[in-house]
Amino acid sequence: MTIETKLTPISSPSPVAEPKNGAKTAVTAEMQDALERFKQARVRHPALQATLKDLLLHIRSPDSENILVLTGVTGVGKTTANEALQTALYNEFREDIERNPGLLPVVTVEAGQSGDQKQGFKGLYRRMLTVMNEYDPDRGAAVIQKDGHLWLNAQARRTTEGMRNVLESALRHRQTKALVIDEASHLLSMARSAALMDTLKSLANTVGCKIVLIGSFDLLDIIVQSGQVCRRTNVFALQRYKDNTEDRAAFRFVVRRLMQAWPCETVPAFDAVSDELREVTFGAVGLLKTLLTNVLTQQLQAHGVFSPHMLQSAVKSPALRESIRLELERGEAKLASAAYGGGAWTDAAFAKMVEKMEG
Amino acid sequence: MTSMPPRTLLYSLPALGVGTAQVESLRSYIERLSLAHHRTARQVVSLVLAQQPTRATTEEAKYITQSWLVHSGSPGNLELLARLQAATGQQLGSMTLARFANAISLYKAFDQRSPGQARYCPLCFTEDLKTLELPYGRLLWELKGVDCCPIHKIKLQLSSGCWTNACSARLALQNRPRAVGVCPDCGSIGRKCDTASHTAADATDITIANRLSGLLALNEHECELINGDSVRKGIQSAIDRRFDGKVTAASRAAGIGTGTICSWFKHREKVGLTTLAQLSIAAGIDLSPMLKGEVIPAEGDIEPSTLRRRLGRSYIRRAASDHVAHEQLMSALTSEDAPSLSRTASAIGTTVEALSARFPELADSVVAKRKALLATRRLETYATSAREYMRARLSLIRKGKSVNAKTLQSESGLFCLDRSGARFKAMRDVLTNPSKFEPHD
Repeated sequence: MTIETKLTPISSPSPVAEPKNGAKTAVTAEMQDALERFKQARVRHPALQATLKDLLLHIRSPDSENILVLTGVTGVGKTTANEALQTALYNEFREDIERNPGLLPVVTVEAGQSGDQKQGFKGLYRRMLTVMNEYDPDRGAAVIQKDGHLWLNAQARRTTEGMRNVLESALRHRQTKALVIDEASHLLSMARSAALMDTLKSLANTVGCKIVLIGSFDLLDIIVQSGQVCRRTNVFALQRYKDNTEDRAAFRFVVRRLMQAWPCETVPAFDAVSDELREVTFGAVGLLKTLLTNVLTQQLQAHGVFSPHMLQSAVKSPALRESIRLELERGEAKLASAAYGGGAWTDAAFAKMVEKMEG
Repeated sequence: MTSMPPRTLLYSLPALGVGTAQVESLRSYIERLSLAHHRTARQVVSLVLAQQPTRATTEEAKYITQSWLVHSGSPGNLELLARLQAATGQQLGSMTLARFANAISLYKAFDQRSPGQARYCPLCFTEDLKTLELPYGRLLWELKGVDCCPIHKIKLQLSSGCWTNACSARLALQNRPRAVGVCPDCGSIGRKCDTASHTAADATDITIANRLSGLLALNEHECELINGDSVRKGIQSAIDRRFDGKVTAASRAAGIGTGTICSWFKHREKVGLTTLAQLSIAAGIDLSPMLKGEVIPAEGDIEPSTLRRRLGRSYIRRAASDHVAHEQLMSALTSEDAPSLSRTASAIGTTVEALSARFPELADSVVAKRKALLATRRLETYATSAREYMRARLSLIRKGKSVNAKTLQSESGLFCLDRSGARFKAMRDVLTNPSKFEPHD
């Protein structure tokens, strides 16, 4: 369990600059810097580590499960998991990367909503090629190879198929092991779910890399629709911390790690109220961090002086929390049977099986 | 998050055949790289040259991909090589002869033909396809004097595409790929469309190819040992051991001027690769050790006149005898290809003027035969194009589209680039007077 930030607490602003009656000041560059440092702090907590381990195992494996889905409730830390995955893959292929400067083992792209739905897959392919350092992906002759013959399709602009060919070539030549698509739920706006998954499946098969989809629970709906897709897919859930002894301790550990990264001299004793914090953030690390960032902003504006009321005003409103809770319950119900490691047998049936196998 | 170091601009395609005589040529590498990037070779070269610190103009990229004179050690070629190495992260020095440029002159060391033409060994392509997706062009095939494959002992094929062999599946001009291992006319990978029979190479071909291929197999460490002094030392040793130190005897056997050899020592001039090859063959010693100042015997013996003809410089080759010139003209007259007088002259290293002056009647006959052949071809092109344009016209009318020069060309796939050519004339006639081509009862 590590924390990836340099802990350099900033000093409280000088008393000379302090305004009268405790009035808040505008955010200065120094405050921005402190906030940014806190935002960059990454806690490798147990849930993240476990998910990452399973995910890496499947990325390395030469099995036919080409599409890996990483999902979890909003604010559980999916984006952090994405960054941790990139770092882990980079470390794993470090020697290859240093030996071959053309290698690109992991490509990450965000399937963000650009508002232009006409772009569809072509837009996604373009974004991927841009991330892969491909110069002007819209232009150039698409090379088509078929039945022992090769020819160019020289059009002024590349078609979706042409762009796809270019992407396949790029992924193959850059020896990409994992193509990560963040905010993958937005892909649903491009095509019907079956067509979408077929496209991704064929891309993964042709190139021989793993496609990692990161997104909300909506992703589960598109996977269970086709047997073909299910066969080649595995779902990994980034779990939140629940109300049991083990999870409570783990959540306290996360709170303490974030306290270590607190960029003020006065560090509030958040660990004393970690259970309460877990309750209002539903045990999601991302939500906890948002909450603490909010508190930090207030503390910085108050010249480093902490007041417990800051915590009260930083918590999301009951209506918003209720909305998150509903989404979370719906998602977890879907996830209960879909996630990796869920197993197919009941505990009793499985115990019988073990007994049989052990003779 | 740990950030990844900057990646290369282009894919890091591994160079093929490095350290062997079958090393890939830089031209072939650029062509393979461009196909991998789904771009034309000119686009890739433009991109490489457009990088900082000094930007080259697009004209330079155009010139490079038209002439493909990229294998010598000129400053422009060295710059292109350095930029390609930076853009791919690969060591590409072995793909050109630039590594020898400090020690020897590469003047006229390459076989300069029309860039549309390629020389290749079909059997090497067949073997390449067992392990590679695309066959590649060898640097050896680009060298002057090398006319055969030293592995398969067959003559290299010279082709500008299969269309001249009446291949029916000709690609439209803009769809034609440019790579040594692919037919530009039909796109056949490994040029399988070329069904011409293989001609066995003679002993002369094999000796020259073997001698020069040894040079290409030298690695960069060995190349560092080669310099002007080591080359001169090798030449001196060869003359001492094989010709008892007599420069005249050496020059006669090798088919090079005595003054040429003397100037290498007297003025410490750079020695030309082709003349070195001539000397090494005449002396019966291996060329690559000779560059390092060593003498190692090698097999193969070639007549001085043949050496002059195959490897010598053009001013020497102009001294082709009357007998050789007559034979060449007679051969041109009996050949079905009806080569032009210019090609007939260059085949024996002489000029059109020299041939015409010696055998005016024969030269006129060669010209007349060529003219007749071209006229026949023009008629054939006219008839074929008119047929295709009429078919396209009917198709357009059925679709309810307008018939004009643009739609006719795109529908038929036949594009007219030359407004004075037979194809343009056929298109113009189909547009203005289609009834001329309609069948009459």
